[in-house]
Amino acid sequence: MMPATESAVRLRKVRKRYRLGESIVEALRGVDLSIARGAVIALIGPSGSGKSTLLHVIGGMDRADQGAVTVAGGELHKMTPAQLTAFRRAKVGFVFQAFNLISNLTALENVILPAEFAGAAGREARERATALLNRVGLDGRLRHRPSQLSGGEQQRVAIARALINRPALVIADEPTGNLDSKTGAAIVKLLASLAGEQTVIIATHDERIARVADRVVHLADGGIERDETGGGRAQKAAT
Amino acid sequence: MGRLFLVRYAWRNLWRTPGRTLLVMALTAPVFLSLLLMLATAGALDRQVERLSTGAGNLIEVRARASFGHVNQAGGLNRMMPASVAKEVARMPHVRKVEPYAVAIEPIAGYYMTLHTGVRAGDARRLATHGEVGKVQIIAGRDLTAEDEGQDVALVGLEYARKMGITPENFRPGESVFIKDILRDGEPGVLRTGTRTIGGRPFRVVGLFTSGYAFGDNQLFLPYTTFQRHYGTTDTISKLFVTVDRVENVADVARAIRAGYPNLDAATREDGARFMARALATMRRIGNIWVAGMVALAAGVVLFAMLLAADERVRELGTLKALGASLGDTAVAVLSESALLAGLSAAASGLLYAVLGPSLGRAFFGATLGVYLPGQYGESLLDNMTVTYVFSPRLALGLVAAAVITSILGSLYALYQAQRLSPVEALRHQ
Repeated sequence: MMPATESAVRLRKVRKRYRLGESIVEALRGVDLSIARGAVIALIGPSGSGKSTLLHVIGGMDRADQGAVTVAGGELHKMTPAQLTAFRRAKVGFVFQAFNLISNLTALENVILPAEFAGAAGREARERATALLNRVGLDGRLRHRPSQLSGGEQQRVAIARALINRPALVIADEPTGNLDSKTGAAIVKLLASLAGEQTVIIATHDERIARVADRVVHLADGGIERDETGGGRAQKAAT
Repeated sequence: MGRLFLVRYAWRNLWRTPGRTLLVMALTAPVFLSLLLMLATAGALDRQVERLSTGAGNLIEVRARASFGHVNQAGGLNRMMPASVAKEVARMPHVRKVEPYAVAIEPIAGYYMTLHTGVRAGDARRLATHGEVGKVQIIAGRDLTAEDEGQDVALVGLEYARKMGITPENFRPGESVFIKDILRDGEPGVLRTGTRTIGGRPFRVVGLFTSGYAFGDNQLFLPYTTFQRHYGTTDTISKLFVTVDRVENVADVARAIRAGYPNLDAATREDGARFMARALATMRRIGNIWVAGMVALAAGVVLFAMLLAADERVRELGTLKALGASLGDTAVAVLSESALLAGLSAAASGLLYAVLGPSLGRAFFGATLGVYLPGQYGESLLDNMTVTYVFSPRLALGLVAAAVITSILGSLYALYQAQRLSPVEALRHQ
């Protein structure tokens, strides 16, 4: 565990339950977790292990039933829904498995969207969005609609969108799940390149991500089964 | 917030399913068109009600109780009113105008009786006994004016003039005639002696009038002060015509006059006008219900379209919320889409109205408000009203208001769904 002062994310005894039909599902069972600033973390586990729920709680999209969640200095467990919205807007960038681009907006407009919600849209945001799209290799694709882009290109747009508001945290839920292996590898490389600037948390089954992550947290049945150093840290240590 | 951006987003959303948008427009534009037609009709009804309320049946005729009020008549029928009544009544609430009349009855050649009426310039020339029915229409020369006060001039009825040898064809304005020439001597017991000074002086006839009634055409109008001088009636008046501001207030004013002057009669004729005004006001209310119904119908169509849209875009709404869209942002997105949809339909209806309104108006009136009236009244009412089915600022305002209300009502449920949607649930939605 990292010292608390350097933590971008700190969870203490976090519990989350869901009602699924007649039964109650214990999605998170008292999770304790600290994540250092600038780290790339891979959350690995089978379906139903609690990866997505943990991401949603950390990203402020869902609330823990019990426990304390502190992310980028904000105590999420004390926030109102409106404060959680403001928190997501300012502090978190999301990358979804299904990309979740807005189909009737261009790539550039999709990237600018979070800046619009943050009230920061303007020439600067436009230039930044253009630069981000260039960075993810989509120069020349700015005016394309999602339907005119390949899966890998759409995920690149989603990554650029996640970065537009300079969030402290980037959360990616199965970002390579809908991509072929070659495209997935490129996306993994792109996400890994964000390390240092942002804290990146990735829920995945993809072993390649585990290889580039600083830390790999294995989840099972709503709890942390194993917490180990990833390949990324070893690579950094070697360099 | 990038609210303008959300309006652009809403506009594009409309054209994701152009077929549905066009279908909604095709369904709601005729609804808005009928709303416009009803607004135009209702506006005309308002004007008609106002005209009836302020211009018909709002007259009270006041005179001494059970008296003809003829200044020169002997016996118990010649009671007069004090001239001060006119000033006092003029100060009563809701009284718009008072018109004092001085009337003398005169026997003329051929066993006829005639009336000489003194009336102020600017006051209506009402023919005695015919009241509002016998209206004066000047067919030669001119009316009496303020400059005529005190002068020996007269406005003469066609039959009265004919007895003096004057016809519209040979009439020469300003020609002096001796009215005495046609007056016959008074009958003892009927007319007071010494009051018929008018017969001894020449009068200039300034104009001829007709009323459509033989007795009406047998009368004569004099300037008020001229009459007073000739008949010696400076402090009394025969009749007082009181115009009330609105027909609804006639009964109150008449009651006040009767209470204040127990020896006066205050005759009203407001019942017919009140009935018609009430009937039109009822039709106006039916029109309001129609307009509200049309807005509700349009809102229903928009509501259905918005529900479909919101249901189709649950994941997208969840994504927007996950990316930081506030409740206000989602509200703007949903409301904008609904407003644009309603606005497009309203604009289409405006175009339809501009093209078809004039030709559809009469048929629309017959098929809607007209059904509440017997056939002949429907047509005559429409002819009588100044209803013009052309686009006016008032209609434009009404259309905009209807579109705004439609869009708000139409978006309410979709808005509710969007607001209660949690981003996590929305992202799980397939």
